[in-house]
Amino acid sequence: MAEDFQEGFSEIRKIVSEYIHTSEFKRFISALDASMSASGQTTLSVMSQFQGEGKSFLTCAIAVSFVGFLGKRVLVVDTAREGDELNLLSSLIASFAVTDMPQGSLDVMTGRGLAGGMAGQTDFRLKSGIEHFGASYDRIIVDTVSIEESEAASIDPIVVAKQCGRGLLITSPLSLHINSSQELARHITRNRVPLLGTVYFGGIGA
Amino acid sequence: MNFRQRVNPFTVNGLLEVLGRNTLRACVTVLACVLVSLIFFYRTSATYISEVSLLVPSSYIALLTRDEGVPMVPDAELGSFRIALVRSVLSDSFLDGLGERYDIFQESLDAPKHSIERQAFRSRFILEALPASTIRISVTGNSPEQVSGLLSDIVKEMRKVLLRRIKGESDMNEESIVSVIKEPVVPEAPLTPHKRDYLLVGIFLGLLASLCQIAYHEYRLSQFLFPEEVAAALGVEFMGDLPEIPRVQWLYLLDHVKTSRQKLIG
Repeated sequence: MAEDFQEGFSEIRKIVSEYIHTSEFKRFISALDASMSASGQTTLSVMSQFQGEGKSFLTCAIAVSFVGFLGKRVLVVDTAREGDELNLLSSLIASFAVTDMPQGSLDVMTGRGLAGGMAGQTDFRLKSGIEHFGASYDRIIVDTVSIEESEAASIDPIVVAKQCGRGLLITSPLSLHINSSQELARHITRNRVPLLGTVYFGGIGA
Repeated sequence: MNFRQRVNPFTVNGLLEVLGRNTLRACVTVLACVLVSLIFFYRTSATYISEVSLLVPSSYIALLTRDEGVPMVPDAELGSFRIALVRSVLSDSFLDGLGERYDIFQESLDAPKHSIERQAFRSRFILEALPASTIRISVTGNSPEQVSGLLSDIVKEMRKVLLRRIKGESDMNEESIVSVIKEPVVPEAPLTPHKRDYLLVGIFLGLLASLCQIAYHEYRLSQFLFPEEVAAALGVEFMGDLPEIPRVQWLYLLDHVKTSRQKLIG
């Protein structure tokens, strides 16, 4: 079974590596790193309006790029996951964690773990968790639920973004073409979400 | 941040709101369309029409057919015979003379395209057989004087040609061969274009364009078309336009998560 996992991880690494080596992604990482450095932010929350807009994939790609291209120590916090269940982000990160990356350069935690195991309070306790672990990492990338899911989930992405200090908003064909981007922008502004910037993810191709 | 408000135009308040914020835009569009239609109106050359009604007595036709050995023309065909007589008057040489006199042709008479111009000139004459031995000739032209002058010349030519045909074998004179029942008049107003029609078309197109413009404007109020617009509306940096991930690879990732989860549970 371990060989099956290794084979799968290898394929995942190949997919993510190909993606982060595209010139568009490299330029994005360069702009993102410059903005974070300029604003003095080490923590970033990755947000989107809908589920399936590529948050987890981009969170992983950003984290791997920071480690691979810029030599940063990165902690990925998965606030969408409460327990030990496997999801896309943990699967993606796990595939890189088994490689010969330097120890401590790419770690993943659940939001609950970062918040000291307090179920249902992850969003409000993120800041103290980040302060506690922040010294060991250059960048902390927080993946969270989509704004659309916030009603049903036990975590609020707006609160997460505020706790993190800055958010990165992902737009995609999904949010851009279903007549809702204005609503999203209004929602974000009304809630005074501190945004670092937006990025457009082309979504899933043919 | 000042976001534009989208309203439901299918409610009274919503409709008033939409009308209120688009009135000026709609007025400007309608005025612009009316202006354009008026420009077209003034740039379109006017066409005038005039007509003359002539009486060609059956006695003349009987005289003509007898001399040429043609059997008696049935009453039902007399109208067609009169039209044929007029057509015979509108010969190429006569039309060329008229064309030169009234400055109708653009090509010179010996130019290859002149025959096309002459044919077009001939088609401007409309001949109709009316009851009581009468035919009506209508002609269109660029000026009132031109159309009335053309008809007067045709009447003169008809009298001359038709009189020549009977070779003085009758006591009929020019006036008795072709009597003018209704004199050609100098038209006061052109046949086309009509200012009212152009104005109506301009207003209609203006309203249509306004409707499309309002619909597009209202649509744009509620939707960003480009990802950069989201960043601009939020006042933050647009950091990149990332490529899509191939579907095959995406499905592989999802499938890997699913199977890994099953293996771990198993």
